[in-house]
Amino acid sequence: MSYPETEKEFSIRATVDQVVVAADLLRPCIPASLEDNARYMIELGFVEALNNIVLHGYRDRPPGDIHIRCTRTGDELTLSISDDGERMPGDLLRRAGGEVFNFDPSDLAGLPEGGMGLSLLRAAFDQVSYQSMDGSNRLELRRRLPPR
Amino acid sequence: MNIVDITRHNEIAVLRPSVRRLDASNALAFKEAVVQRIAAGDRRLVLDLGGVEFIDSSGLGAIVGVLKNLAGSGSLVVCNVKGPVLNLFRLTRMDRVFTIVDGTDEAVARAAA
Repeated sequence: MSYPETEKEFSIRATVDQVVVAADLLRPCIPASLEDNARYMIELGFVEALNNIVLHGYRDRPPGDIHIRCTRTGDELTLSISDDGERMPGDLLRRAGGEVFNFDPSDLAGLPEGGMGLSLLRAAFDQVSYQSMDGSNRLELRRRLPPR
Repeated sequence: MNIVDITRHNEIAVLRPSVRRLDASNALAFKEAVVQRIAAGDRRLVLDLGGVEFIDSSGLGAIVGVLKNLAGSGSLVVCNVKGPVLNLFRLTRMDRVFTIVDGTDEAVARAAA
């Protein structure tokens, strides 16, 4: 049995206090049958993506709209996030691996306080792609869902 | 509204975030509130995350910032961490950085030690 197909679209203003609104709207799209950790990771990855757009993409410009489309087909969840803010620089997303977490736990000063968001985003999804064209950016996040 | 409620067990300050989500919208305010307490002399801290359902990288960074502010002089014990939040500590390897225990009593005892 596969997951029922769903599709949902919504928009938020690109401000930091709207991210929780988007998370609330996304939640019904995440299959309730997934275990808690998996549900949390999907929400976390999504929140990190939005934080990144809000805090960096719109840092030097008035907040625009961020458009979100969530589709669930077969055994895959796809989140598509579009905005018209500043594009994410070069290969930032590609370079965000798990290195930020390879810190020495005994070296207090060297512990990361930031720079973890994109790595968590990458960890939360199986496939992450980013396109920027004519002032519009589109981030697509895909996660395979376990067989039901 | 205070972002963090503080109760005192002798010299231990037990900090309970009053928000269900520690995220980019409040992480800085949370960190500043706790750092203020540290500056005022509270250096043995318990962070009770029992009411916190969600932490993002900003919230986690703020908790790391509190630990750095203690600069090795004092203690910070984390307790009552919900499963998926604990999973975040593990995924980011922060479980090797923080002392994380189950309940508040144990946390207070550890912070006093």
